[in-house]
Amino acid sequence: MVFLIRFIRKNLFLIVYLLLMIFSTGQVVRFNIYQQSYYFNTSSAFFNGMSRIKTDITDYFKLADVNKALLEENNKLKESSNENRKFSDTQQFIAKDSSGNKKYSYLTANVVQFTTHLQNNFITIDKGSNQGVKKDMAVLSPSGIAGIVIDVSPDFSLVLSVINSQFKATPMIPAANFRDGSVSWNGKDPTVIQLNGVSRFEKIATGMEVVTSNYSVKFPSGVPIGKILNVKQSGGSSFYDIDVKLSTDFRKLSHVYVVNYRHSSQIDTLNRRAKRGN
Amino acid sequence: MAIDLLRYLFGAVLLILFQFFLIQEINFGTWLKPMPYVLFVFLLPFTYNRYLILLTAFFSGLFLDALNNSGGLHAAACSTLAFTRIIVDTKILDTDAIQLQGFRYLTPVYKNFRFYALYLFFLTFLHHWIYFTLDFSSIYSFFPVLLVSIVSSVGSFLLILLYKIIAGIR
Repeated sequence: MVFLIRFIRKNLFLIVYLLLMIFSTGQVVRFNIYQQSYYFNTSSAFFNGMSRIKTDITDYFKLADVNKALLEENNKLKESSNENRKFSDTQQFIAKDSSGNKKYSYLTANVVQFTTHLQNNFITIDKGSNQGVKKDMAVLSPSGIAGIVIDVSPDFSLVLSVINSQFKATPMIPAANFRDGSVSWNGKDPTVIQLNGVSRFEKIATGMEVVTSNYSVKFPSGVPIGKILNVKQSGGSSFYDIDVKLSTDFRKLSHVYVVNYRHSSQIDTLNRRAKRGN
Repeated sequence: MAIDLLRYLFGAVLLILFQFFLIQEINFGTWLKPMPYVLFVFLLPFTYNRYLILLTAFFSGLFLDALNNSGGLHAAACSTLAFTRIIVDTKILDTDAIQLQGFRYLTPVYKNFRFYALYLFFLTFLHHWIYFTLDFSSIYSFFPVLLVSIVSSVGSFLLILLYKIIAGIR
Protein backbone atom coordinates (compact mmCIF):
# COMPACT_ATOMS: atom_id res chain seq x y z
CA MET A 1 0.00 0.00 0.00
CA VAL A 2 2.80 2.37 0.94
CA PHE A 3 4.58 1.30 -2.21
CA LEU A 4 1.48 2.04 -4.28
CA ILE A 5 1.07 5.52 -2.80
CA ARG A 6 4.75 6.22 -3.34
CA PHE A 7 4.48 4.99 -6.93
CA ILE A 8 1.46 7.22 -7.63
CA ARG A 9 3.14 10.26 -6.06
CA LYS A 10 6.28 9.67 -8.08
CA ASN A 11 4.45 9.27 -11.38
CA LEU A 12 1.47 11.52 -10.75
CA PHE A 13 2.19 13.75 -13.76
CA LEU A 14 2.32 10.78 -16.13
CA ILE A 15 -0.84 9.34 -14.59
CA VAL A 16 -2.73 12.63 -15.01
CA TYR A 17 -1.60 12.80 -18.64
CA LEU A 18 -2.65 9.20 -19.29
CA LEU A 19 -6.05 9.83 -17.71
CA LEU A 20 -6.58 12.86 -19.95
CA MET A 21 -5.54 10.80 -23.00
CA ILE A 22 -7.88 7.96 -22.06
CA PHE A 23 -10.75 10.42 -21.68
CA SER A 24 -10.13 12.21 -24.98
CA THR A 25 -9.38 9.16 -27.13
CA GLY A 26 -12.40 7.53 -25.54
CA GLN A 27 -14.46 10.42 -26.85
CA VAL A 28 -13.10 9.77 -30.34
CA VAL A 29 -13.55 6.02 -30.29
CA ARG A 30 -17.02 5.82 -28.82
CA PHE A 31 -18.20 8.60 -31.14
CA ASN A 32 -20.25 6.83 -33.75
CA ILE A 33 -23.69 7.06 -35.22
CA TYR A 34 -25.26 4.59 -32.84
CA GLN A 35 -24.35 6.58 -29.78
CA GLN A 36 -25.50 10.07 -29.16
CA SER A 37 -23.09 12.90 -29.58
CA TYR A 38 -21.64 14.05 -26.28
CA TYR A 39 -21.27 17.74 -27.08
CA PHE A 40 -24.47 17.96 -29.05
CA ASN A 41 -26.58 17.16 -26.01
CA THR A 42 -24.64 18.72 -23.20
CA SER A 43 -23.60 22.09 -24.51
CA SER A 44 -25.67 22.83 -27.58
CA ALA A 45 -26.78 26.33 -26.57
CA PHE A 46 -23.34 27.94 -26.32
CA PHE A 47 -21.59 26.06 -29.11
CA ASN A 48 -24.48 26.25 -31.53
CA GLY A 49 -24.50 30.00 -30.81
CA MET A 50 -20.81 30.18 -31.72
CA SER A 51 -21.38 28.15 -34.86
CA ARG A 52 -24.29 30.35 -35.82
CA ILE A 53 -22.05 33.43 -35.64
CA LYS A 54 -19.63 31.66 -37.95
CA THR A 55 -22.29 30.69 -40.50
CA ASP A 56 -23.76 34.19 -40.31
CA ILE A 57 -20.39 35.52 -41.44
CA THR A 58 -19.52 32.85 -43.97
CA ASP A 59 -23.00 32.78 -45.52
CA TYR A 60 -22.37 36.20 -47.04
CA PHE A 61 -19.40 34.87 -48.96
CA LYS A 62 -21.45 31.96 -50.25
CA LEU A 63 -24.40 34.02 -51.48
CA ALA A 64 -23.41 33.97 -55.15
CA ASP A 65 -23.03 30.19 -55.23
CA VAL A 66 -26.19 29.63 -53.19
CA ASN A 67 -28.17 31.80 -55.60
CA LYS A 68 -26.79 29.84 -58.54
CA ALA A 69 -27.75 26.52 -56.93
CA LEU A 70 -31.24 27.82 -56.19
CA LEU A 71 -31.68 29.01 -59.77
CA GLU A 72 -30.62 25.62 -61.06
CA GLU A 73 -33.01 23.93 -58.66
CA ASN A 74 -35.82 26.25 -59.79
CA ASN A 75 -35.17 25.39 -63.41
CA LYS A 76 -35.22 21.70 -62.60
CA LEU A 77 -38.52 22.07 -60.78
CA LYS A 78 -40.01 23.97 -63.70
CA GLU A 79 -38.85 21.35 -66.15
CA SER A 80 -40.20 18.40 -64.18
CA SER A 81 -43.94 17.86 -64.28
CA ASN A 82 -45.01 20.04 -61.44
CA GLU A 83 -48.38 18.49 -60.80
CA ASN A 84 -47.29 16.29 -57.95
CA ARG A 85 -45.57 19.04 -56.04
CA LYS A 86 -47.58 21.60 -54.19
CA PHE A 87 -46.07 24.46 -52.26
CA SER A 88 -47.73 25.81 -49.18
CA ASP A 89 -46.88 28.80 -47.06
CA THR A 90 -45.76 26.70 -44.12
CA GLN A 91 -42.33 26.20 -45.68
CA GLN A 92 -43.26 22.65 -46.55
CA PHE A 93 -43.94 21.20 -49.95
CA ILE A 94 -45.39 17.82 -50.50
CA ALA A 95 -44.94 15.03 -53.02
CA LYS A 96 -47.86 12.69 -53.57
CA ASP A 97 -47.77 9.04 -54.55
CA SER A 98 -49.87 7.47 -57.30
CA SER A 99 -52.94 7.10 -55.12
CA GLY A 100 -52.89 10.77 -54.28
CA ASN A 101 -51.66 10.30 -50.75
CA LYS A 102 -48.79 12.43 -49.56
CA LYS A 103 -45.60 10.40 -49.80
CA TYR A 104 -42.88 12.82 -48.85
CA SER A 105 -43.03 16.18 -47.17
CA TYR A 106 -40.09 18.54 -47.17
CA LEU A 107 -39.04 20.94 -44.43
CA THR A 108 -36.51 23.68 -45.12
CA ALA A 109 -33.73 24.25 -42.60
CA ASN A 110 -30.65 26.44 -42.31
CA VAL A 111 -27.24 24.95 -41.69
CA VAL A 112 -25.88 26.16 -38.35
CA GLN A 113 -22.60 24.28 -38.31
CA PHE A 114 -20.72 21.92 -40.58
CA THR A 115 -17.21 20.60 -41.15
CA THR A 116 -15.52 19.18 -44.23
CA HIS A 117 -11.97 18.69 -42.97
CA LEU A 118 -12.56 15.75 -40.62
CA GLN A 119 -13.03 12.08 -41.38
CA ASN A 120 -16.39 12.04 -39.62
CA ASN A 121 -18.15 15.22 -40.67
CA PHE A 122 -21.48 16.31 -39.26
CA ILE A 123 -23.96 19.05 -40.09
CA THR A 124 -26.06 20.85 -37.48
CA ILE A 125 -29.34 22.35 -38.73
CA ASP A 126 -31.70 24.77 -37.01
CA LYS A 127 -34.84 22.59 -37.03
CA GLY A 128 -35.54 19.99 -34.35
CA SER A 129 -38.23 17.87 -32.78
CA ASN A 130 -40.41 20.98 -32.22
CA GLN A 131 -40.60 21.35 -36.00
CA GLY A 132 -41.21 17.64 -36.56
CA VAL A 133 -37.71 16.43 -37.39
CA LYS A 134 -37.12 12.82 -36.35
CA LYS A 135 -34.13 10.52 -36.27
CA ASP A 136 -33.26 8.73 -39.57
CA MET A 137 -34.90 11.32 -41.81
CA ALA A 138 -33.05 12.07 -45.04
CA VAL A 139 -31.55 15.50 -45.65
CA LEU A 140 -31.15 16.97 -49.15
CA SER A 141 -29.31 20.02 -50.40
CA PRO A 142 -30.69 22.07 -53.32
CA SER A 143 -28.41 20.14 -55.67
CA GLY A 144 -28.35 16.58 -54.24
CA ILE A 145 -28.12 14.39 -51.17
CA ALA A 146 -26.67 15.83 -47.96
CA GLY A 147 -27.04 13.28 -45.14
CA ILE A 148 -29.23 11.56 -42.55
CA VAL A 149 -30.54 12.93 -39.25
CA ILE A 150 -28.95 11.00 -36.38
CA ASP A 151 -29.83 13.06 -33.34
CA VAL A 152 -32.55 15.57 -32.52
CA SER A 153 -32.86 18.22 -29.82
CA PRO A 154 -35.92 20.49 -29.45
CA ASP A 155 -34.62 23.16 -31.86
CA PHE A 156 -31.58 21.63 -33.56
CA SER A 157 -30.72 18.39 -35.34
CA LEU A 158 -27.42 16.65 -35.95
CA VAL A 159 -27.01 15.28 -39.48
CA LEU A 160 -24.54 12.57 -40.50
CA SER A 161 -23.00 14.13 -43.59
CA VAL A 162 -22.45 12.21 -46.85
CA ILE A 163 -18.74 12.95 -46.39
CA ASN A 164 -18.57 10.90 -43.19
CA SER A 165 -16.75 7.57 -43.15
CA GLN A 166 -19.86 5.96 -41.66
CA PHE A 167 -22.34 7.15 -44.29
CA LYS A 168 -23.83 4.65 -46.73
CA ALA A 169 -26.55 4.95 -49.38
CA THR A 170 -27.92 2.80 -52.18
CA PRO A 171 -27.26 4.27 -55.62
CA MET A 172 -28.78 3.75 -59.05
CA ILE A 173 -27.29 4.58 -62.44
CA PRO A 174 -30.24 5.14 -64.78
CA ALA A 175 -28.08 5.29 -67.94
CA ALA A 176 -26.67 1.80 -67.28
CA ASN A 177 -29.88 0.50 -65.71
CA PHE A 178 -27.88 -0.44 -62.63
CA ARG A 179 -29.38 -0.60 -59.12
CA ASP A 180 -26.95 -2.18 -56.70
CA GLY A 181 -23.83 -1.53 -54.68
CA SER A 182 -23.35 1.29 -52.21
CA VAL A 183 -21.77 4.72 -52.00
CA SER A 184 -19.43 5.66 -49.17
CA TRP A 185 -16.64 8.15 -48.60
CA ASN A 186 -12.95 7.24 -48.34
CA GLY A 187 -12.07 10.42 -46.44
CA LYS A 188 -9.74 11.99 -48.96
CA ASP A 189 -11.51 14.59 -51.07
CA PRO A 190 -14.70 16.26 -49.76
CA THR A 191 -16.00 16.66 -53.32
CA VAL A 192 -15.59 13.02 -54.39
CA ILE A 193 -17.40 9.94 -53.08
CA GLN A 194 -16.75 6.26 -53.89
CA LEU A 195 -19.15 3.83 -55.51
CA ASN A 196 -18.48 0.21 -54.55
CA GLY A 197 -19.87 -3.12 -55.57
CA VAL A 198 -20.29 -2.46 -59.30
CA SER A 199 -19.51 -5.62 -61.25
CA ARG A 200 -16.98 -5.49 -64.10
CA PHE A 201 -19.68 -6.63 -66.51
CA GLU A 202 -21.79 -3.49 -66.11
CA LYS A 203 -21.45 -0.96 -68.90
CA ILE A 204 -20.30 2.05 -66.91
CA ALA A 205 -18.79 5.18 -68.42
CA THR A 206 -17.51 8.43 -66.99
CA GLY A 207 -20.01 11.27 -66.91
CA MET A 208 -22.99 9.00 -66.13
CA GLU A 209 -25.30 10.39 -63.50
CA VAL A 210 -25.64 8.56 -60.16
CA VAL A 211 -28.89 9.07 -58.25
CA THR A 212 -30.48 7.56 -55.14
CA SER A 213 -32.10 4.20 -55.72
CA ASN A 214 -35.80 3.53 -55.62
CA TYR A 215 -34.98 0.71 -53.18
CA SER A 216 -33.77 3.25 -50.66
CA VAL A 217 -36.06 3.59 -47.67
CA LYS A 218 -34.76 6.90 -46.36
CA PHE A 219 -34.04 8.87 -49.51
CA PRO A 220 -36.64 9.65 -52.17
CA SER A 221 -35.65 7.95 -55.42
CA GLY A 222 -33.86 9.86 -58.15
CA VAL A 223 -32.16 12.49 -56.00
CA PRO A 224 -28.79 13.31 -57.61
CA ILE A 225 -25.69 11.96 -55.84
CA GLY A 226 -23.20 13.03 -58.49
CA LYS A 227 -21.55 12.19 -61.79
CA ILE A 228 -19.02 9.42 -62.40
CA LEU A 229 -15.57 10.97 -62.43
CA ASN A 230 -13.39 7.98 -63.25
CA VAL A 231 -13.67 4.21 -63.41
CA LYS A 232 -10.74 2.05 -62.37
CA GLN A 233 -10.30 -1.67 -62.42
CA SER A 234 -8.05 -3.03 -59.71
CA GLY A 235 -6.20 -6.18 -60.71
CA GLY A 236 -7.95 -9.42 -60.01
CA SER A 237 -11.05 -7.89 -58.52
CA SER A 238 -14.36 -8.45 -60.21
CA PHE A 239 -15.57 -5.02 -59.16
CA TYR A 240 -14.81 -1.54 -60.43
CA ASP A 241 -13.37 1.23 -58.25
CA ILE A 242 -15.52 4.20 -59.16
CA ASP A 243 -15.11 7.83 -58.08
CA VAL A 244 -18.23 9.97 -58.17
CA LYS A 245 -18.05 13.77 -58.20
CA LEU A 246 -20.64 14.89 -55.61
CA SER A 247 -23.34 17.19 -56.91
CA THR A 248 -23.55 18.86 -53.48
CA ASP A 249 -20.65 21.16 -52.67
CA PHE A 250 -20.38 20.66 -48.91
CA ARG A 251 -18.07 23.62 -48.47
CA LYS A 252 -20.87 25.90 -49.66
CA LEU A 253 -23.80 24.32 -47.87
CA SER A 254 -26.12 26.91 -46.36
CA HIS A 255 -29.63 25.51 -46.41
CA VAL A 256 -31.10 22.02 -46.72
CA TYR A 257 -34.40 20.14 -46.95
CA VAL A 258 -35.37 17.53 -44.38
CA VAL A 259 -37.41 14.75 -45.98
CA ASN A 260 -40.24 13.19 -44.06
CA TYR A 261 -41.24 9.87 -45.62
CA ARG A 262 -44.80 9.29 -44.48
CA HIS A 263 -44.63 5.52 -44.80
CA SER A 264 -41.34 4.99 -42.98
CA SER A 265 -43.09 3.81 -39.80
CA GLN A 266 -45.02 1.19 -41.76
CA ILE A 267 -41.82 -0.09 -43.41
CA ASP A 268 -40.09 -0.17 -40.04
CA THR A 269 -42.94 -2.21 -38.59
CA LEU A 270 -42.77 -4.69 -41.48
CA ASN A 271 -39.01 -5.05 -41.14
CA ARG A 272 -39.29 -5.59 -37.42
CA ARG A 273 -42.01 -8.18 -37.91
CA ALA A 274 -39.86 -9.98 -40.50
CA LYS A 275 -36.91 -10.02 -38.11
CA ARG A 276 -39.03 -11.41 -35.31
CA GLY A 277 -40.22 -14.12 -37.69
CA ASN A 278 -36.71 -15.34 -38.29
CA MET B 1 -0.20 35.35 -11.43
CA ALA B 2 -3.96 34.99 -11.81
CA ILE B 3 -4.23 37.99 -14.15
CA ASP B 4 -1.22 36.70 -16.06
CA LEU B 5 -2.89 33.31 -16.50
CA LEU B 6 -6.11 34.99 -17.66
CA ARG B 7 -4.08 36.80 -20.30
CA TYR B 8 -2.68 33.50 -21.56
CA LEU B 9 -6.12 31.87 -21.58
CA PHE B 10 -7.50 34.84 -23.50
CA GLY B 11 -4.67 34.47 -26.03
CA ALA B 12 -5.39 30.73 -26.35
CA VAL B 13 -9.10 31.41 -26.96
CA LEU B 14 -8.21 34.02 -29.59
CA LEU B 15 -5.92 31.56 -31.39
CA ILE B 16 -8.56 28.84 -31.27
CA LEU B 17 -11.23 31.18 -32.66
CA PHE B 18 -8.76 32.20 -35.39
CA GLN B 19 -8.33 28.50 -36.22
CA PHE B 20 -12.08 27.87 -36.13
CA PHE B 21 -13.23 30.92 -38.09
CA LEU B 22 -10.44 31.31 -40.63
CA ILE B 23 -7.77 28.61 -41.01
CA GLN B 24 -10.22 25.70 -41.11
CA GLU B 25 -12.35 27.48 -43.69
CA ILE B 26 -9.50 27.76 -46.18
CA ASN B 27 -9.13 24.73 -48.40
CA PHE B 28 -5.41 24.06 -48.85
CA GLY B 29 -5.90 20.62 -50.41
CA THR B 30 -6.06 17.01 -49.28
CA TRP B 31 -2.67 16.83 -47.54
CA LEU B 32 -2.25 20.30 -46.05
CA LYS B 33 -4.37 20.94 -42.96
CA PRO B 34 -2.39 23.40 -40.85
CA MET B 35 -3.21 24.01 -37.18
CA PRO B 36 -1.20 27.07 -36.11
CA TYR B 37 -3.27 27.45 -32.93
CA VAL B 38 -0.79 25.10 -31.19
CA LEU B 39 1.36 28.23 -30.75
CA PHE B 40 -0.37 28.95 -27.44
CA VAL B 41 1.20 25.86 -25.82
CA PHE B 42 4.66 27.20 -26.72
CA LEU B 43 3.88 30.57 -25.17
CA LEU B 44 3.04 29.27 -21.66
CA PRO B 45 5.91 30.29 -19.34
CA PHE B 46 8.36 27.88 -17.69
CA THR B 47 7.41 29.22 -14.26
CA TYR B 48 3.93 27.72 -14.45
CA ASN B 49 3.14 24.52 -12.62
CA ARG B 50 3.37 21.61 -15.06
CA TYR B 51 -0.13 20.42 -14.17
CA LEU B 52 -1.43 23.89 -14.99
CA ILE B 53 0.21 23.79 -18.45
CA LEU B 54 -1.14 20.29 -19.11
CA LEU B 55 -4.69 21.17 -18.06
CA THR B 56 -4.66 24.48 -19.95
CA ALA B 57 -3.68 22.65 -23.13
CA PHE B 58 -6.24 19.91 -22.53
CA PHE B 59 -9.17 22.25 -21.95
CA SER B 60 -8.20 24.50 -24.86
CA GLY B 61 -8.18 21.43 -27.11
CA LEU B 62 -11.52 20.34 -25.71
CA PHE B 63 -12.92 23.81 -26.47
CA LEU B 64 -11.96 23.50 -30.15
CA ASP B 65 -13.35 19.95 -30.17
CA ALA B 66 -16.68 21.19 -28.87
CA LEU B 67 -16.78 23.89 -31.55
CA ASN B 68 -16.01 21.35 -34.27
CA ASN B 69 -18.02 18.52 -32.75
CA SER B 70 -14.97 16.29 -33.17
CA GLY B 71 -14.93 14.13 -30.03
CA GLY B 72 -11.57 14.52 -28.29
CA LEU B 73 -9.17 14.83 -31.23
CA HIS B 74 -7.70 18.22 -30.38
CA ALA B 75 -7.77 17.56 -26.63
CA ALA B 76 -5.69 14.38 -27.02
CA ALA B 77 -3.22 16.03 -29.39
CA CYS B 78 -2.85 19.17 -27.26
CA SER B 79 -2.31 17.30 -23.99
CA THR B 80 0.35 15.13 -25.67
CA LEU B 81 2.01 18.31 -26.97
CA ALA B 82 1.99 19.92 -23.51
CA PHE B 83 3.23 16.72 -21.82
CA THR B 84 6.11 16.33 -24.28
CA ARG B 85 6.95 20.04 -24.06
CA ILE B 86 7.33 19.76 -20.29
CA ILE B 87 9.49 16.63 -20.59
CA VAL B 88 11.69 18.30 -23.25
CA ASP B 89 11.91 21.47 -21.17
CA THR B 90 13.06 19.67 -18.03
CA LYS B 91 15.41 17.18 -19.72
CA ILE B 92 17.01 19.23 -22.53
CA LEU B 93 16.57 22.94 -21.91
CA ASP B 94 18.37 24.93 -19.25
CA THR B 95 15.26 26.82 -18.18
CA ASP B 96 17.04 28.79 -15.45
CA ALA B 97 19.54 30.18 -17.93
CA ILE B 98 16.75 31.16 -20.33
CA GLN B 99 14.87 32.92 -17.54
CA LEU B 100 18.02 34.74 -16.48
CA GLN B 101 18.17 36.17 -20.00
CA GLY B 102 14.70 37.59 -19.37
CA PHE B 103 12.64 35.12 -21.44
CA ARG B 104 9.63 33.25 -20.09
CA TYR B 105 9.52 30.61 -22.83
CA LEU B 106 11.92 29.36 -25.51
CA THR B 107 12.50 31.98 -28.20
CA PRO B 108 14.57 32.02 -31.40
CA VAL B 109 16.94 34.48 -29.72
CA TYR B 110 18.08 31.90 -27.15
CA LYS B 111 20.95 29.75 -28.52
CA ASN B 112 20.40 29.81 -32.28
CA PHE B 113 17.50 29.75 -34.70
CA ARG B 114 18.12 26.17 -35.76
CA PHE B 115 17.65 24.94 -32.22
CA TYR B 116 14.36 26.81 -31.86
CA ALA B 117 13.10 25.62 -35.26
CA LEU B 118 13.86 22.01 -34.37
CA TYR B 119 12.06 22.35 -31.02
CA LEU B 120 9.03 23.98 -32.65
CA PHE B 121 8.84 21.59 -35.58
CA PHE B 122 9.30 18.40 -33.56
CA LEU B 123 6.56 19.30 -31.07
CA THR B 124 4.18 20.58 -33.77
CA PHE B 125 4.72 17.39 -35.76
CA LEU B 126 3.95 15.27 -32.68
CA HIS B 127 0.69 17.17 -32.14
CA HIS B 128 -0.34 16.75 -35.79
CA TRP B 129 0.67 13.10 -35.86
CA ILE B 130 -1.47 12.27 -32.81
CA TYR B 131 -4.34 14.28 -34.29
CA PHE B 132 -4.29 12.64 -37.72
CA THR B 133 -3.66 9.16 -36.30
CA LEU B 134 -6.81 9.44 -34.21
CA ASP B 135 -8.79 11.07 -37.03
CA PHE B 136 -7.69 8.90 -39.97
CA SER B 137 -6.94 5.61 -38.22
CA SER B 138 -10.08 3.89 -39.45
CA ILE B 139 -9.41 4.70 -43.12
CA TYR B 140 -5.78 5.47 -43.86
CA SER B 141 -2.77 3.33 -43.20
CA PHE B 142 0.43 4.42 -41.47
CA PHE B 143 2.23 6.16 -44.34
CA PRO B 144 -0.57 8.41 -45.62
CA VAL B 145 -1.09 9.55 -42.00
CA LEU B 146 2.64 10.27 -41.73
CA LEU B 147 2.56 12.22 -45.01
CA VAL B 148 -0.42 14.36 -44.04
CA SER B 149 1.17 15.02 -40.61
CA ILE B 150 4.49 16.09 -42.10
CA VAL B 151 2.96 18.33 -44.78
CA SER B 152 0.51 19.90 -42.31
CA SER B 153 3.13 20.48 -39.63
CA VAL B 154 5.36 22.22 -42.19
CA GLY B 155 2.34 24.45 -42.93
CA SER B 156 1.68 25.17 -39.25
CA PHE B 157 5.40 25.72 -38.64
CA LEU B 158 5.62 28.33 -41.42
CA LEU B 159 2.46 30.09 -40.21
CA ILE B 160 3.83 30.25 -36.65
CA LEU B 161 7.15 31.65 -37.94
CA LEU B 162 5.19 34.19 -39.98
CA TYR B 163 3.42 35.25 -36.80
CA LYS B 164 6.77 35.49 -35.01
CA ILE B 165 8.15 37.72 -37.76
CA ILE B 166 5.08 39.96 -37.75
CA ALA B 167 5.03 40.20 -33.96
CA GLY B 168 8.78 40.76 -33.83
CA ILE B 169 11.04 37.90 -32.81
CA ARG B 170 10.72 37.79 -29.04
